[in-house]
Amino acid sequence: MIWGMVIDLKLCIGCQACSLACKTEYGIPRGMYWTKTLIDEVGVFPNVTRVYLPQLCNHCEEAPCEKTCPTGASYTDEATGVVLVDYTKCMGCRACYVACPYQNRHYVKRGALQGYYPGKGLTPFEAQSYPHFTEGTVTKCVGCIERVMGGLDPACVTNCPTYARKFGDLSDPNSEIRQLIRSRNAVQPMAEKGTEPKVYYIS
Amino acid sequence: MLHRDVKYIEADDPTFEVGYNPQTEWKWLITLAFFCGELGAGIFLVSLFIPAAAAKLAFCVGLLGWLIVAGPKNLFHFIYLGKPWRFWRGLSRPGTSWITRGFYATFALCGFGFLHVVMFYDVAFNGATPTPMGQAIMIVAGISAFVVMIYDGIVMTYSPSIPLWNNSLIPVLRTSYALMGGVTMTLLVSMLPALAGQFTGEQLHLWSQIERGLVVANMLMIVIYVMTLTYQVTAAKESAYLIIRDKYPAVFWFGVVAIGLIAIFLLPILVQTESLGLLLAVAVFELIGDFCILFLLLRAGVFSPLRTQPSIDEALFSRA
Ligand code: SF4
Ligand code: SF4
Ligand code: SF4
Repeated sequence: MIWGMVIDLKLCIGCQACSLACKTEYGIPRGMYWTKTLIDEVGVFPNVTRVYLPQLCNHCEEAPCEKTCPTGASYTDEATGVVLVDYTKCMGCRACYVACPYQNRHYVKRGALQGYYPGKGLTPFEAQSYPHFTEGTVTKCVGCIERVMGGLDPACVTNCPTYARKFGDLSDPNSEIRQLIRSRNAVQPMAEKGTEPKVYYIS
Repeated sequence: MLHRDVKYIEADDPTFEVGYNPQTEWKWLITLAFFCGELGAGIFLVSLFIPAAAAKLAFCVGLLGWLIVAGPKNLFHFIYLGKPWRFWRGLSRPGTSWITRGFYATFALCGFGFLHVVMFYDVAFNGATPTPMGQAIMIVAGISAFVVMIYDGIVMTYSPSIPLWNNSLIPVLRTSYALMGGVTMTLLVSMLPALAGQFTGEQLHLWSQIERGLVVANMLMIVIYVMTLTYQVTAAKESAYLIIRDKYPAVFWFGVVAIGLIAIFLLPILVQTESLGLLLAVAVFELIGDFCILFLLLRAGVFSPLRTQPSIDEALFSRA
């Protein structure tokens, strides 16, 4: 299967349930989010509207982060098309961070794994999740690969209260997401950059 | 949409607002590493073109360039890395990564450049004639120096995320600055009392003319570069705005333009006589200008915000 996501902008209410679900699922250290919903106000009074734009790693087919990575730490999982980082190989040069047009890479600074209560040790939750991170390396959305391989949807999809996020198999022409992409004229973020994102937006 | 419809947001912690976010990871250490790499490689490359009659000067200039690359450039890169002792892993992806290619070139310059300097010592100080082996090493070291000089610019150009960088003029501009640094430092070293007489008056004049030519070329390139930014996507316009008016005008107008270009062009005309003091002032000004332009390129680079992308805006607003 090839990992794919379609986000319905009409349904997103900007509640950030996805941001928190992801943070909780992986115990992501403070100061970073693997997914977040951007909030913006557009228009001029009195014709003002609020828009919400959920954002996460697009697991790009032509991922510039992967191409520029000098160590091979950034790679695409062949079976799912998910772009991952091998923390044991990453040397923390952050070339991938500057190459990602979507700002979806995060550097785990030295001292970033001190926890939310510095000087007071880690909470049990942090103690369980922080060993999965490595200071001095770059981290990003892992596409919930282990959930997906176990037949579940990604955490941000499962926890969206409005079903704005839909997950599926891009290689299956009859999957729900492929049908949505076809029928709702889905657009890819910054398609003009040639990155071929696997996340699509519909409205 | 006007480029200023979206705010400039510089924040270390994540923000949920849509805005022009500057890149915040490649800062001082990378600026210093790029600066030393380009300058050192430029000096080394220029030393290979110094006439045989001034072999002592060529040796000293080559050694200076090699030292800058082998020392500060490598050191700044090393301490910048999050996992410095994994630096050797950076050699893994020559097929796609310009950083890997730059690593190879840097190592080659450190190795072959060292051999060249050692072998050239005999030519410069003991009157030996260059051997074919020595010349082959010199060519490999020269090619490596050229790649070291240019690869940072190519890394930036290849980055699709920051429109300020995603511009094919960057490698040309950086190469031209590196060569200007090389020529300026050659002129300065030639004025040292121990190397007096290495350059004849005519040669000194010729090299000063070359330096002036490079200053003019850099001025033109900067004008063209800034103009191209104003015709590009909104994030490029925002970068140009940050550089020229909003956040860094002092660095640009004073550091890059007044000190780094106009002063080094006018000083030799006003002072007339070539002297160590004059060339020292020109060299210092040139280094300040070079550092300032690199600083601006790295600091004023903002990502394109997702919301101003035509495809996304269309999807967002079609529901209204
Ligand atoms: S969104 Fe960014 S981090 Fe994710 S694959 Fe694309 S370029 Fe890489
Ligand atoms: S920071 Fe790590 S993953 Fe990113 S480009 Fe450098 S080595 Fe690769
Ligand atoms: S797919 Fe998983 S890892 Fe990626 S943003 Fe969603 S919850 Fe986080």
